[in-house]
Amino acid sequence: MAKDVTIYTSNTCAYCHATKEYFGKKNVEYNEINIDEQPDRRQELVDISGQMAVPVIMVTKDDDSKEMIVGYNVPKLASVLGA
Amino acid sequence: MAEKQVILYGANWCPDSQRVKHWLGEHDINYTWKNVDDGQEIVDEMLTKVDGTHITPVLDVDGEAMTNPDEAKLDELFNGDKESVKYHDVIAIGAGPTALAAAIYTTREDIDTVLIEKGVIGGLAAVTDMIDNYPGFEEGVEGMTLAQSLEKQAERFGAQIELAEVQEIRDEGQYKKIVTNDGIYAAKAVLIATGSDYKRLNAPGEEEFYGRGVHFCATCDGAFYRDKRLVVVGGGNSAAQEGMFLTKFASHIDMLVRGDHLKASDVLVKNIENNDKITIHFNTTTDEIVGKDGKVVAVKGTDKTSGEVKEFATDGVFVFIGLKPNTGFLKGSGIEMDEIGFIKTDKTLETNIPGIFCAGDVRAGATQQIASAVGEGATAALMIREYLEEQG
Repeated sequence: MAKDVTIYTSNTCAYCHATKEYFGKKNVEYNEINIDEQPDRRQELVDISGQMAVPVIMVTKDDDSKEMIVGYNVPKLASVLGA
Repeated sequence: MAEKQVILYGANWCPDSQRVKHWLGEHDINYTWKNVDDGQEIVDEMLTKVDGTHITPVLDVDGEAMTNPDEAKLDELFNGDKESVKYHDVIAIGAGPTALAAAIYTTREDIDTVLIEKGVIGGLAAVTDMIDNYPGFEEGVEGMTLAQSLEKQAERFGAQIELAEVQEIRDEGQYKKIVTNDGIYAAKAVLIATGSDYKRLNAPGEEEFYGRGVHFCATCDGAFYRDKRLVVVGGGNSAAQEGMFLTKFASHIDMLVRGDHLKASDVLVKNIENNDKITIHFNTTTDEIVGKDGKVVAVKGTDKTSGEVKEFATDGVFVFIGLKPNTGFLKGSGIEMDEIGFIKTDKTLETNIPGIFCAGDVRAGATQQIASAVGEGATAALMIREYLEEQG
């Protein structure tokens, strides 16, 4: 299972909404960084992901290893949560 | 699992006996067949096991007898250890406007309905910035808003939405099996409403810069291009609509159109023409996405009339060149499709496999409009109801 989940989102992105809904349905808590509301965090997202796209999901696992998922991908999210 | 002792009593003229025989055969289960037409002693033997109930078939598993088991019961008896199957009346694959509309109709009539969605609830409609032509919204409606109200409306009547990816559909007669990354479902009727997705260019640089300068979703990634230059590829409705949306952010947009005119609605064409942030380049192919130091810097295209190769300096590219049906998972299912991969149906929206229906953008002949998707969803729901009534 995941120790910490951070989701980078934007206001208009339906895939971000879907990602949040997915974690909600699986009862997994997450932190959200909305790059529209926190534009100063935009560069941080580009730096860690190399992407200019949202959603980006950063999962810290129980053994402190991190896994990044770019985009909304149900099978990938399921496997990272060990579901 | 130790092999069970299975005896089946029935008759060759009895469809349910045949159904159970067929099921046992398909699942490689050894059983003894006792035909009640072979003599009174077999009838008597059968009757003692079920307290005299005159119903065939009778299935005896390790001494426990029951009359006419349905598929769910058979699964429970024989497959319980292997896989836990979730049974429903109707499963819709996809949760876009089509499936949500269908679910509003089925669940209002207490038909147990589950939608399985691998992407965004609301489908492509949900990722569309503004929907201007969906009836009932005089000022237009944001795609995400429409998607959320459809979802809430369907859930109000009891529709369940599961987030999983369907990998395979198996036709097992009365029940269809739906294999997902999150377990196996079974339903008496299936609605395929998986819609379509944006096509890729297949040009050099597209894969390499995907998400880092090459994008397919303006509402998702447009905000990264505040005061930047963009290229939009495509000349249809979605290119025009999303191009207009991107002018909220971009300082300038070069729109590369392969044909000699825009194939979009008049309103959109006018908006595009009157927007001084957009320059349209007709008869222009998109040949390559050019990058430097890990970033997109230009798009190479060819002017088909002069043959001249042009380079458009840009910070990012948004591609909207049409739609492809989401039917990859149906390979080997036996469901008939056209040469592009859209699913063929008859007038009742049923595919060539009885009990498997198809509606919305993924159906061959669909008009690719949200209003028609919703209409087809409602029609499919009524046809499915009829099918379920016939099946009893």
